[in-house]
Amino acid sequence: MKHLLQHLFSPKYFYQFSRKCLPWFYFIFFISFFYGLIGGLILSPPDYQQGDAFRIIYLHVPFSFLSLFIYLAMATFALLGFVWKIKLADILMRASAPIGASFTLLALITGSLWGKPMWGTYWIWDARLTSELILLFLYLGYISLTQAYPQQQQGHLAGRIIVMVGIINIPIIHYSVYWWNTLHQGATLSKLSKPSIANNMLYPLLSMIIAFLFYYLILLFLRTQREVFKKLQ
Amino acid sequence: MFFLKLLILEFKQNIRRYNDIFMPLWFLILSMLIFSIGFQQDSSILKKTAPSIIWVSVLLSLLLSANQLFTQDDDNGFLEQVLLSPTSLLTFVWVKAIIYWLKICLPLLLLLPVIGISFSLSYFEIKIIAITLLLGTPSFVLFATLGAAIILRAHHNAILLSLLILPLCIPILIFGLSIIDDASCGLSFTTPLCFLSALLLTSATLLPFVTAFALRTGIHYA
Repeated sequence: MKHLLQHLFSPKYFYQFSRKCLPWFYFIFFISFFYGLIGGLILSPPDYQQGDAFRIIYLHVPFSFLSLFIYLAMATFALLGFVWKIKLADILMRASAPIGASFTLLALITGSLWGKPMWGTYWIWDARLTSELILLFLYLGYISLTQAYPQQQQGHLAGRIIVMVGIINIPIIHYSVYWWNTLHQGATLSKLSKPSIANNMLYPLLSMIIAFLFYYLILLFLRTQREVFKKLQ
Repeated sequence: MFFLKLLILEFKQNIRRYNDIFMPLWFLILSMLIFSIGFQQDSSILKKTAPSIIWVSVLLSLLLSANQLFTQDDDNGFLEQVLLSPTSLLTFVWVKAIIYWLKICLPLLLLLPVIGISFSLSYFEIKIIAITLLLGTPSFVLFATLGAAIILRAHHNAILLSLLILPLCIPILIFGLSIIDDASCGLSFTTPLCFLSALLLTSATLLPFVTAFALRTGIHYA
């Protein structure tokens, strides 16, 4: 296991692997992005309650999904770094953090733009909005922590610890903030139950999520490639 | 008994620097003064928000000096000696956390009746606030020790500590305040009380390990 992982995550192997993967990622991203855009903006009917304003869901849901997904990915990298001492894990984490922070910010912005016509307010201290904002602060805390040390290695270690503590705290924060009761509509997509959305709206939404997932992977690989390249020089 | 020896040593060291004990108290009273001026001394708003003001001020005054928790031991090499000694670093972390709680939170709790009277709170409300603070502040202190261990060798660590630790403290704040809210409405507050105690138990069992780990790695790489 250890050797396999260290081989997979060795900078040299990863560099070659990511160069081979990137064209495919671009391909999947473009296909799913354009299908999502056309399906979401043209083919799917307006919502019976929210009219055409609901179409921001095709950006808002992928952004908020990715904001959590990237934090989870960072925690996984932190674990890889702790358990198997993989050097690349820190580079992957540091490359992920600004992307995750941007997605969190975009989720907040699209959410507040959606909130204005639906709830009549841009911002409310509701459970999901608040925990998303806290997530943004967790990202920013990680970013500023990794830059606050004279030696980079120290920053990486501190970052790993704070991400691990953060990932345990995220569910606690979420449910404690939920305590206040909530204005946000219930989750549209859930793994355990049938989604509460019509199929011709669902497929563009899923395709947008896949598109932005691959967008994240493209950015991550490009940023990691650059870091690896800098190290090798 | 290394734990007791260390505890007494730390206690003696801290009692001699009594200035450090007064400054957080001073900050707490000043921040309450600022709140009461900020609310235009409207006594109805003040009475309603007093528990929140007390909780937030306690949290802030607790984080204020937390970045100094390990610096002195790091500067004079005591921390490295503890690391080299056969006793575990965990003991040291616990001693630090206990002494910090005694130094910062106990005086605040002792001052609470006076503060409560100044906000014209009833005896029952003061009692509830004291109970919630008694359960909540140890978790805050444990988070603060973790933050102090992580940022020990970082630049501008005072502000960074608050930025890192404040988001993690939010659940404790929410449950603590919802106990006070339920109690002042005359409702049963068993559920949030259980949650607050659960958070305290979780942080007491997990965080000191992480803190010790952070200290060890931080020193190792310096």
